[in-house]
Order: sequence, then structure tokens, then C-alpha cells
Amino acid sequence: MKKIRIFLAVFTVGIIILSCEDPLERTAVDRFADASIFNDETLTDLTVANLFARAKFLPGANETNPSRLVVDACAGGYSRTFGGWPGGYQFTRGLFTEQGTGGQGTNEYWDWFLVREINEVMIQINDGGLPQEYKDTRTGELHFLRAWVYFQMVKRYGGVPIIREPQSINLPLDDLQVPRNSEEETYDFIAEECDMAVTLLEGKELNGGRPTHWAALALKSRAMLYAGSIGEFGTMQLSGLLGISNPDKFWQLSYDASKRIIDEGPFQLYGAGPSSFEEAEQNYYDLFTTKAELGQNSEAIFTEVFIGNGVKPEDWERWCAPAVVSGTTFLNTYLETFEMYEYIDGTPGALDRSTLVEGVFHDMADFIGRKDPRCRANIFLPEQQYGGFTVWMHEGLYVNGVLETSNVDGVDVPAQGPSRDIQRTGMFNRKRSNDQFLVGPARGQGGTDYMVFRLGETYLNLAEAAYALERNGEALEALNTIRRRVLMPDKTSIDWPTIQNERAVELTFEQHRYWDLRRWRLAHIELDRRASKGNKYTGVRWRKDFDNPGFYEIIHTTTGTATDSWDRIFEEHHYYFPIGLARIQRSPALIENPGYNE
Amino acid sequence: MKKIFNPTLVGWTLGPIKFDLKMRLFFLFFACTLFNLQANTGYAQKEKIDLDMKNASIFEVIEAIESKTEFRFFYSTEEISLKQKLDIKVKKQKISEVLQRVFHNKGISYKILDKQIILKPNKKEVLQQVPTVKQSEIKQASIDISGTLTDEGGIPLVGANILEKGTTNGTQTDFDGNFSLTVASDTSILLVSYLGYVSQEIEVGSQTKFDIVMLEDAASLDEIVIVGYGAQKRASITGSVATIKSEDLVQTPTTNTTQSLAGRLPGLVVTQNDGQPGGDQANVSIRGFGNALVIVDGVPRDYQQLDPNEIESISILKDASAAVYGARAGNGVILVTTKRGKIGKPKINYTSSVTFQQPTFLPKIASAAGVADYIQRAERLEGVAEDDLTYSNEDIEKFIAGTEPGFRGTDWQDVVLKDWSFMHQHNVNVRGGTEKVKYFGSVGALQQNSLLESGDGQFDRYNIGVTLDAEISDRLKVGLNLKYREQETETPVNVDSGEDAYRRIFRFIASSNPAIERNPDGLLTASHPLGQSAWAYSNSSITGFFLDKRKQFDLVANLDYDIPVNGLSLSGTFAFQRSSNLSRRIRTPFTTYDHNFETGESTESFTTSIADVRNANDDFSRITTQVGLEYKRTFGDHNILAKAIYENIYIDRFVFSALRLDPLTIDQPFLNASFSSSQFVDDNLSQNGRSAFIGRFNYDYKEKFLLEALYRLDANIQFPSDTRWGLFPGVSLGWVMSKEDFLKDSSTINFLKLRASVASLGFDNISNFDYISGYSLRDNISQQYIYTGQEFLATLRTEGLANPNITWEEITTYNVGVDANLWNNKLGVEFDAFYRRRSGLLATRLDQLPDTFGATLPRENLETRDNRGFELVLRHRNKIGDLNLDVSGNITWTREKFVDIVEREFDPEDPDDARLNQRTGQWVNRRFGYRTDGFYDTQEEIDNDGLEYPQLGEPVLGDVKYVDRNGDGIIDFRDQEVIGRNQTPELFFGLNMNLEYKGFDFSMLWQGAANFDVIPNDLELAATTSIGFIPFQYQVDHSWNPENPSAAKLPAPNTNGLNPHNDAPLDIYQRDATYARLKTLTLGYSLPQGFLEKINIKNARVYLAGYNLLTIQKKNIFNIDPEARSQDGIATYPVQRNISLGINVGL
Repeated sequence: MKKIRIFLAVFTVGIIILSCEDPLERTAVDRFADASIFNDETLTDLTVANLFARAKFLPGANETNPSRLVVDACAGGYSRTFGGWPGGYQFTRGLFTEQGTGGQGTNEYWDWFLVREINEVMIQINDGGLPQEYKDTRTGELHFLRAWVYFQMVKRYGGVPIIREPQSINLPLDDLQVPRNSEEETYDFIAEECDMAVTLLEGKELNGGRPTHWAALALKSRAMLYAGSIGEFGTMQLSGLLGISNPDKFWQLSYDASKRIIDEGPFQLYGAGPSSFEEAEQNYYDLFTTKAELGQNSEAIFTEVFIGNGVKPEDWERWCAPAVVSGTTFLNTYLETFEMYEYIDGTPGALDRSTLVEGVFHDMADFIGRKDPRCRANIFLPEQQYGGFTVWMHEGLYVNGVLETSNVDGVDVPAQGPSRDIQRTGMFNRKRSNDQFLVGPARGQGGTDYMVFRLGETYLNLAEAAYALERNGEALEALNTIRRRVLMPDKTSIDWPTIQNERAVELTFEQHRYWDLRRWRLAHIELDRRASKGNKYTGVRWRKDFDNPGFYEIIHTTTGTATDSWDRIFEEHHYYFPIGLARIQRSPALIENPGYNE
Repeated sequence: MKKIFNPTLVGWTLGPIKFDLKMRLFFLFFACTLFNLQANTGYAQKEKIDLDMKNASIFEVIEAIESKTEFRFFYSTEEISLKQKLDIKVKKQKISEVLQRVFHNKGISYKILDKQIILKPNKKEVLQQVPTVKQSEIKQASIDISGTLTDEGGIPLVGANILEKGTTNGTQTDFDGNFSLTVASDTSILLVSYLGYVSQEIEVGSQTKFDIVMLEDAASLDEIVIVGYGAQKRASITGSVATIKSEDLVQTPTTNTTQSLAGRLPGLVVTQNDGQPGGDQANVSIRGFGNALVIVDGVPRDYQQLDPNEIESISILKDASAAVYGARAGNGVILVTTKRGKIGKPKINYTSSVTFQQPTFLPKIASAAGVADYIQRAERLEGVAEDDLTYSNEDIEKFIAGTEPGFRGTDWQDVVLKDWSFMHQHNVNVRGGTEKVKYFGSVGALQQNSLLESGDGQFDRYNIGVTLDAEISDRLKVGLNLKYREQETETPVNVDSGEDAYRRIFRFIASSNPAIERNPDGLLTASHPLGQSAWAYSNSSITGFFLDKRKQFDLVANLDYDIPVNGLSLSGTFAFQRSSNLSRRIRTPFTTYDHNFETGESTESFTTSIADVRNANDDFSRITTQVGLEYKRTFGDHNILAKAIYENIYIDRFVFSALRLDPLTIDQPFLNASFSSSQFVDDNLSQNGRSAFIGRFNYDYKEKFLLEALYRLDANIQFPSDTRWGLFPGVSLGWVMSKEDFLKDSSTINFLKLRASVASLGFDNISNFDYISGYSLRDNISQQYIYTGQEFLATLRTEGLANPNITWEEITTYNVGVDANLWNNKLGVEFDAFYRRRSGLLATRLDQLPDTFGATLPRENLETRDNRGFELVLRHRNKIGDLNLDVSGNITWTREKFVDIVEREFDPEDPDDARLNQRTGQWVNRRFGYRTDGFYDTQEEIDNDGLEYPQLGEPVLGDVKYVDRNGDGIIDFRDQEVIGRNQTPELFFGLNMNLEYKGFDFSMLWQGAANFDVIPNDLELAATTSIGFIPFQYQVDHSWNPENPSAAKLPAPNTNGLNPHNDAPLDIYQRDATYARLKTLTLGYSLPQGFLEKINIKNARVYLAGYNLLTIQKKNIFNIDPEARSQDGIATYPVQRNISLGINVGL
């Protein structure tokens, strides 16, 4: 019985001891308290980094779904995707309704969470106990970020509510429902935020991923350019909610910002003064690939840094690389994009399409060899080298005058390129496709840094603003500076089409074209391409003549998958995205843009 | 020959056992052999002895027996006195007869274990003996009677009560079912009763030997049912409780215990929509509510992977009966009780089965010619020029002929899948005990293969369970329950995140083109138009594998102490669960090839690049402690039971994983067998804690008026301290009308009970510390950011707004019920009607906050919903000659309504807005969609129908023609109406039939569901051929075809899949999924006893069983299992049909 009592006692005591650790004393173990964060520089850095990570400097980077990544390349009219499914390509169908922008919303930027959290962190940094200089730097970066976010919104929706402080949940609903500010007020706010960032960040070192006051100026240069052109080409609507009444004010602001970067900044065009067109092409290709990293070139003003191999990746290489590397060529470039590039003598790039038929063989040294060096740097064309492979793009090979589609013994050229490389438009996107990252079909592997702002753009911003302000000489000089870098001959006169085409060829695939066409109010002409209008984009099929090296039969293809999978639609009211029924239902203070609620 | 009897040495012992992989089967074999040896009772039956002794002490008799035979006696001299004297004279008697005489009325019980005879004091006999002796002194004409008690199968019943009616004179049967009693006269009546059997009254008359056969109680009123924190007699339960017994669970071999529950319990809603090995559990919910709380042996635990042979019973608590589980019990409670020891000789059971598995439904993929025809039709309709068609007419003819190389096609389903997969299951268990020590031990193994032709994909499970109950002293009882389980799931794998291997395989089977012929040179065929290969993904040696190994250990220790105060007892429970889930995954690249049948060359098509190795461990532990006090007394006709318990629960979880890229080889799936510098680790810790005070009070008056009151004070740290404590009371009443005088002697109504209950319950599995704000780390790639010199692979983000007032959902349940047994217990009826109201359901006010606010409101306890429903069970039991018949049917109906919902704002002027969007006051299971009126067969029809489709896109030839509900010429959201329910059935039924005739038994279970509709997903309606999906045969057969437009049941094919115009919930897509399914069918044969006795086997049964044998559903064009998920139907491992052959052997 003694043993029993001892056992009983031990058991009971055991239970009581365990019960003494009150289970209700436990709590969530993985939370950081606010107070601990804003008194610690590393933790504050981590918090600010989160906000920057979500800014979408390179849309669709940080996602393994290519939908957002391909938006600009597709929506800007440069290319299509191999399969029609990515939302970013669907977006070109103009499915804008009172419900939203369609295309799975891939081009939306309605991130009020980010706005609120930026506002919150600004206040918390200010309230925290860190050194003033540290606080100023981070606060300056956040002003830059807030300007960026508002710029993303204003270029889509027009004026949006300006909210500078996190709203309290205890406010009455009427106060929470903030009405839209006008488009002009929003651009003013962006200018103000950029100025604030410039003041706080002046003197800071250039660093990958960190905006400096140069970055703030570059953002201002771009945003003010948009405002100026909307004032120039757009109309005032919704009693002043949309439209810019005083374009010159904004042209001037843009001009000033650009001028300051060019005159005072430490930046230079990369690869200026090449000795040959080949060198020019190589330099230009390198700028966006092997030399894209800050410090590797003298042109980058602000970069988003990528690592790859599944960590902070960007997927551009995965979707662009030729099939021999990726297995799946994905972004196909239209013939019309190829045509945008002039020949090296400055003659226009438009082709005589009647020669693009069976039986006509073209000397490639002429057909692509005489193009603007940027053309081949930006577009994969037959027999380019990539990662040690030759990119074959022909669908057939003429051997002894017979078109072969099966390999011929003794012929060291395959009868056909990989099937994915010969279909669709016959060309595909090359710019930014970095053969350092031979990533294959796996997603999330690429790590090429992305220049959010570079000096090349600033020159073109300057050219445009100067031209708008009727300083034609200055405009021409800025434009020609860009052309000289790739040995293209100077333009002797300047007009809107010249400026617009130069931007299209210089800034290809850099998230500009779609937005440029919108602000110039050209999108309803350039981007509205329908079968009924007979202006759908087209492509080519290549057939290599093995008997005459360097000669190809090139066949213009205008039907089926060589063109768009559907009509591209851009109507005049699409210059502003719909706010959308659901958002307005949540906040009736928001007024819908014209054309969406009959 | 005196030996000290040590109770722990009785029975069998085993040395320390290491359960590593290799040992398992050996152990199984070893255990079988051991049990066989122990179970040999042959000697005692054969040996017969002579004795002739007068006035000898028991000790002398024992010595005499030991000298004449090989029998040896074991006893404790402290406990047993052997000085009593007796006379004995026997000739050629069995030892059992001799011992019966020797120890009759000596206060000593005995037990024969082969050649060992164990003696123990028999207190009950001694206590009862005293009055008996006195009576026999007073009443001269006393009669000694004896007999045996067995069940219908001849199995002795141990511990049954035999009472002389109207006296306190009585006894209990011994280990062999024997009893002896001295009764007053031949007019005495014996009252024989045993739990779960019909009590009998037998007049003694001139008989002195009784062979009494007890019949199982059809009404099972005496059945003990496990309820929350205790057990009750079925007859005295006042709540709504349903129970399933172990026999039903093991009737048909299934891979997961949940599968055995379908159709068997009223109020239990069971659907199964996935059949993959190791992941094929059915979804079980009580009355269609959410996830029920599962309690195994008194503590929260999972039950799905328990060996069904270890389970004694499963009870479900549906109403106030669940209130003792408070804040967790709002969706009801599933109580699982595992087997424990029983007094008696060791009973050894061996069961073994082999099962062949086959999908219930496998979608029929189009033939090569069908695919070509479908794609050609789609391209023609899209205006592709004849020359540009992917497949020409000539191609199609060649596919039909199927003779020319390159045109012979491939049935990829056949290539990747087997027709049958194989599963086998074994269990051996032993059960027995003495009054002091009872034990149960079980070892089980299950192995299930997958349908993959490659032979990969396997699930193994090993269960070991031991329970011991020991009476340490008169007042102290200790129980120990140990369960250990190892399970291993292996699958081939090479998938991006967010998809399991089987989904990938089945998706790629459905998108492998039958028009592609396999590479004759043996290279991996690019069966998918984008270069992928379903075969590669189904093959570990090509693509890598995933191995998940779960080890789980459960310990429950109980202690009961009778406090030396009448009726008061103390109990304590300590339960510990520890599980570790180790997984290892390696993914390796592979290359596929296209074959050109003209040139005979294969060219590289596609190389995957995923290459990594990952190791992860998920370590979980839960400790539950309970201390309780119980008071149980009877005051005359008043019975009282009161219970109070204090409970604490501690949960800790630790998850760790590491990944490295580019492993060297598939044969070395280790982190260090990689040269890559890219590696990732993850580390996560979480904890939870709960406390509760529990009380239960039962009262009954003459077992006629029943009252039960329950309460629980419950707290969970997921809620803020101000709102974390909640009181959950429940009360239920019962009136056993059949005990009233006016029904007592009714020949029609044998039993009638009315029940009513009301309870407040909660559901707290909803919060994740929603009351705490602050920041947390995010390491998703979309929240990583890099500065030169600072690589932030995880960043800090706010958790957003906190809700300082969050609390559990409040649930009120009302239940009324009737239990009745009619016509000699031949018909049993149970009926329950219930109403349940849930308030405080978490919802966010997001829909009413402007987006510009920039934060989602935290979830708040805002919404209210209610359910109502009923359950009916009818049961008929009968015995006609040698035929035993048991038929029962149950039906459950349940439906939910929105009572108070956070609605977005409506335009009150717009009747359609409210009709379509307002949910308050509406049924939950409504599906909105459009009605259709055939297809557009001609362009004229499109041009002249006067309809516009601003939201859906204008139609093209072969598209669906919508019904313009409001006649305004515009088809938009206003034309939607309720076209169906949704995927959750409202009505469930089960029909169970058991027949026994002589040695044969037959059982059949039908299960079904009704009032639900399913809409397949887009790919199941139209294949997106442009990205490589392949149509099902029904799409080829039934999609709109210009050659026979009137026969169309689906819109015209389109290379981009479902045309936006047709992409809406449409009546033509919906199918009424009502079904009835032959869930189980079993035919068994028990070998005759006479034959078995010769080979020392107690009972043996062989059976043939089927599971999901037959499914009856409404005719529809889709060939899909009625229970299959609609979301990713094509990518789901199909539900399985089983055919099993098994044996049960009892020793």
C-alpha cells in the first residue's frame, strides 16, 4: 500500500505541477512589437524594405506568374505571348467595363494598403528614438516611395484621393470616404513629395535598391512629363477632376528636374562613343543585362536589385530566352516592332511587304545587318548567339534548292529551329534577357537587376519637355545624344513623331510604351487593332537558304497565331481605367471615370 | 509448491521491442506465434483425474492434484486461506469439474491457464455467501443449482448476474460462464442479466443444471454509450447521441476510418472526394456543420489513421450532450473510444485482408481521332485556313485507321495508370484480463499501392496499441493507454509549389495528347503538346520523390481513487501526444523528346529544370491534464451523479525545413549531397493553451424521469483576456414513458422515451491571435527586398488592425427526440429534430470600408446563420428460424440559412440587385446562374435574335443562347436566377442490412445523398487546346458540331477553351448529383465450431467484401464521381472501389 500511496502522490503532484504552468499565460510567439522596431535600425530597415518590395518597380518581378511581367511588352504593342492565357496579354483586349479592367486585373495599381503603411511607418519612424540623420534618410526614401505609388495610380485612374496620414478606424464613415483629388492636384502632390525626398536625401550615396535624391528627381522628371503631355494632348473632364489645365507648368518642372540630373548628376550614358555598330549593339545589350547592376554602368539612377535562384527573382529570362535554353519561347515580337527601328543611314524601317513572300530571298546583311544596333539588341533575330547556342528560327532549309523540314545528312544546320521559335510572329524579345541566367523553364530563377530610372530616359524626357517649351535646339541635342551612343545619324529637325519614335526604340520593354501612347493620346489609334480595321499586328516565317549563306526567304504572316489571338481594343474612354463598381460601392465618394457608367 | 502470485506476470510478456522498419513484420509473426503458444488449452480439456478424500483441507487436495497431474497451482498465501475442509469423491472427472467442487463456496476463484491454475480470493462470493448460508439454514428445502451462460455463438459470458428473484441472493458467472447458486425452492425464479443482452427470468423447477443462451438485446437499451467525460446506458441518455460499434467499422476493409462511417450514423454527413493513398479520408461533419471536435479516449486527437480494429466505438454528440466540450463543440463532437481489456481468458483475434482497388469513375479522354476532330472543328470555327489546320481530314482518317506509324495514337491513361491497385491489411490483437488486471494489445499493418503503372506511390501504416487497467487496491485504479503509429507516404514528385504530385499527374494525363504516339526508341515522349510528360511525372526514378514519414505516440494515463466517503471519487488524467512528421523530397530534371516518324529521329522537346532536395520536420506535442471529482449516490428512487473537472491543454509546434538546390543524384536525397550554394531554411514555432472548468449533473427518478445538466467554463489564448472565458451551459430532459403504469404492460410498446435539450456552445477554431497587432516577418518572394550590402530575404510587415474584442462563435442548439422500441423490440425508431443558431460568426466589414482606408478591418463576430433539420432511424431485428435479420435505415436532412449577414449596400430601387445579392433571410445553398435556350446554330440566328450581351461578350456560331429572363433584350446579370443548390447535399441516407444464416453472414450498406448540384470546372466543359489541354470524349461527342447542331449539349469547341460568352454558371452545365451508392457489400462464412475445435480455434470467418461497388446517379454527359470536387475534378485522384478478401480468426 505504501507504493500505491507514493504512486498516487507522484501522479497527483505531477498533474498539479503541470497545471501550475498556466496555459493561459501563453501567447503568439512570432510577433514583433511596434516599440521594439522603431528603436532599432535593422528592424526599421526591414520594415521600410517591405514597403519597397511591394512597390512593383518592375511589375511582375517577385511573382512566378508572368501575367503582370508581360503587361507592358504586350499592352505597348511590341509583342504577344505564345499562349493567350497570361492576364497581362488578355489585358490588351480592352475589356474595360464598369466592373474593372478585365485581364484578371493584372495592370491595376490600387494599393491603398501600401499608402496606409507608408504613412504609418513615416509617423512611427518620426516617433521612434533613432538618430535624426537616420530618420531623415528613411523618411526621404518613403516620400520617394509615396510619390512613386501616387504616380502609378494617377497614370491609371487620373486623380485619386490624397491621404497623407493613416486614418483612424474610429472616424465616422463619411470622413473615411475620401473623395478624389483632381488629376492636377495629384501631380502637384507627386512633385511636392519628390521635392521633399530631394531635400531629405541630398548627399546620400548611390546604392542598389535605395533611392537617392537623383532618383527623386528622375521620378519627378518622368511624372511631370506625363502631366505636361496630358495637358497638351488631353481634355479637361469631370469638371476638372481629370485633365491638366496648365501643361507648361509641368513641362517646366520636368525640364528642370531632367536638366539638373544631366548637368549636376554623376551619370553618363553607358558605352558612349563605340567604334562600330557591332560594339554599339553589344554595349547596348550589355547595359540591360551583364552591366545592369549599379556600379557596372554609369547610367543607372535607381535600380531594383534581383538575385535569382528562387530568391528575390525576376522571371524575364525565363519567358524570353529562346527554346534552346528555356524550352518555351514565350514573348513573341511583332514585325511592326522590328519596323520601328531605322536603318543605320537614318532611313525609316518600314518594309516593302510585297517582298516578304515565297520566292524572294533577302540578304540578311541588308535586312537586319543595316538596322539600328538597338534593333538586334532588343529583338531575337535568326542566328543570334545566346548562351553559347545559335538561335535558329527558320521553319525550313533550302538545300540544293529543295525546302527541307527534316535534317539532311552532311548539312550542319538543322532543317528547322525548335518548334516554339519558328511559330507565332517569328521573332521574340531579347532586351534584358540575360544569358548569364540560362534559367530553363523553371520560374523564379533570373536575377538581372532592373534600372527603374536611367540617364537615357532623362535625355529623352528633356528632349520632349524642351520641345514642348519650344526650345527646339536643346531638344534636338538631347535626342541626338541618345542616337549617337549607338552611332545612329543625328536628326536635323525635331517634331512629335521623331520624339515619339525615339522613345519607342530606345525604351523598348522598359515599361514606357503603353503609358507614353496613352499620355500622348495616341493609344486609341496605335493600340486599337482589329480584324475589322485590317490593322492587326503581323509576323514572319523564316526559311534559310543553305546554298547561299546569309540569305533567307521571308514570308509575311498576317493570320492565325502570327497576329493577336483577338482584336486589340483601345477606345477613347480607356485613357482612364475604370475605378470599378465594387470600389465605388465601398466608397461612394469616388466618382467613376467617364465612359464606364452610361 | 507455494508460489507468490504476481499479477503482472500473468499472460504473456515481451522483451523490449524496437519498432524499426525491418522489425515490424518479424514482430507481427513473432506475436502470432506467441499468442498461439499461450492459447493452447488442450491439456486441461483432456486430463481427467480421480480423487477420494474426506475432511481434507484444500491445501491437501491441491497437493494431491499436483502429485497426480501436471497441473500447478499459483496463489498468494496472504490472500487465500487453504485451511477449509471438504469431502471429495470424483472418478475420471475433468479438472474443471473437480475444481468446481473443491472451491464451491470457499471464497476462492480459480482460473486455468493451460497447466497452471491460478487462485484468487472471490470477495463477492464470500459477501454473498453469508446470507445464502443463513437462508439455507432457515429454509431446509434449499436447492443447489449450477449452469453455464453463453451467447448465441456459444461463447461463455463472464461476469453475468444471476439473482434469485425477490431476494438479494445471487452470484456472477466465472471465466467459463459457469455459475452455481443455492436457491430457496423449486418455485424460485432466476433473474439472469448481462449488459447488452435481453434479461431472462427462468423458473428453477426440477432442473438443477442450466444451459442458458443469452440473446443480444435488439433494442440495445443496456448498451453503454460513451458520452462526454463519462459513459451512460443508452436507455438513460437524454441527448442526441449516435454510436457505431467496432464490428461495423471493420466489416469492410477501408484505408481510412472515416470511410467506414458513411451511411451508418444518423446525422453524420460524409463525403469523399479524393482517393490518393494516404490522403483518402472522407470529409466528416455532424449535421452538415463545420469541423467537429474529435476526442479519442477522453482527449483531443485524430482518429483517421487509427487501426479500425483498435476502435471499440465511435459516438457522435449532436446537441446539448456536447456542451461539456464548450467553446470547441459547436459543430458537435466525435468521441472515439479504443478497446481496452476485458475480464476473461486471453482472446486473440487475427484479421487479414487483401484488397483490390479501382477508380469508381475515370474520365474518358478522347481518342486520337476525337482530339483531331475537336481541334479541327475549333480551328475551322475560328476561321483558320484549311492549309493551316493542325489536323487535316486526311490526318483524322489515318488516326481512325490507326495503322500508319505516327498515327497509331496512345492511350496515356492506360500508359500511366494500372487497372487495379492493391492494398493489404493485417491486425492481431489480444484481449483479456482478470479482475485485477485487464489488458488489450494490438498490432496492425496496412500497405496501399497507388494506381500508377510505375509502381510508385505507396502508403504504409503500422499501428501498435496497448492498454492496461490495473486495480492497485480496492480504492485505486490505474489505466494506461499507449498508442504508437508510423505511417509513410511516398509519391513521385516534380511540381512547383501549391500542387501535389497526384494532381500534377492526373492533370497531365488529361492533357496528354492521344494523337501523339510513344517514342519507339524508348526515349521519354513529350506527351503533352508543350513538351511535358505525364509518364515522367508518375515515375520517381525520373522525376524524384516525396517521402513523408509520420510517427505519432499517444499516451493516456488515468487514475481513479475512491475517496473513503460514500459515493465520492477522485480522478486524474494525463495525456500526452507527440508526433513528428519528417519529410524528404528530391526533385530532378528530365528531358522529353519529340519523335518524327518520317525521319525516325527523336529531337529534344523540353527539359525541366527543377532540381532540389528538401528536408522538413513538423514536430507537434499536446499535453492534456484533467483532475476531477465525482459524486454518485442513490437515495431511494433518486439517482444522482455529479462531476467536476479542471482541464488544461498545452500545445507546442515546431516546424523546421531546409532546402538545397541541385542535388548530385536522385539516389542521394540528402542536403549534403549537393554542391549548390543556394539553400533555404525555415523555422517556425507556435503554441497554444486552454483551460476549462467542467461540470455535469445527472439525476433520475426510478430511471423514468431523467435530467442532465452540463456546464463548461472555457478559455483559449487565441482570444484576448477580457473575452477569453465563456460559460457554456446545457440541459436536457428525458421521460421514459414506457416505465409508466399505463404502458408498462403494453405488448406493442416495449420502450418509449421522449427527449428534449437546449445548450449553448461555441466554436473557437477561428482566430489566429486576431487581437494582437504588431509586425511579423514575411519571406515570400514578393516581400523580399535587396539593398546593396543588405539582402533582406524576409521583411517586416504590420499585421494590420487588431480586434481587441474577438471571441468565439456562439451557438445555440435545440433538439427534441423520440426513441421507441415496438412489437417485441422488433422495430426500433429514433427521431430527432434540431434547430441551431450560430451568431458571432467572424466576418469583416471590408465591403463597407472605403479601399482608400488602406487596411482591412479585423474580423469581427458579426454574422448569424441557422440550421435546421431532422434525422430518422428505423431498425428492424428479427430471427426467423436460423435466419437472423437486422435492417436499419437512416435519413438526415439539414439546411442552412443566412440570418444576419454583412451585406454590401444595395440599391433599394433596383429589384434585381436585392434579388441576386441580398443574402439575409435566404438559404445558403443557392446557385445563381443563367437559363439557356439551346445554341446559335446559324449566323442568322445570332443576327436576328435581338439579344445583346454587354457583359458576356457577343456570341459566335455554336455558342450558348441565353434566356432573356426580363425580356429587355440585354443579357446581363439581371437575367440570373437561382438555377440550383450547390455542392453540399441537403439530404443523406443510409440503408444497412445484415443477414445471418447458419454459418453465413451477409451485409449490405447503401448510402446516398440528394438535393445538390455540381458544375464542372471550365476545363471539364471545354478543353483549352491552345495550351495543350485535351478534350474528354464527352466534349468531342456533345459539343456543338455544325454537322448536327441540334444534338449539341455543350458549346462549340474553341482553342482557347470556354469562350467568355459561355463562361458563366449555366443550367446546361449543372448536373443534379443525387446518388445512391452500394457502399459496402459483405458475404462471410464462419467455419463450423465442431471443425474448429479440433484445431484449437475458437472461431474463424472468411469473407468477401466490396466498397463503393455500385453507384446509381442521374444520367448526365459527364462521367464524373458524384462526390468528386468540382474545382479540380480532372486533377483529383479518383475515389476508389475496393474488392477485398479477408479472414478473421479468433483463438
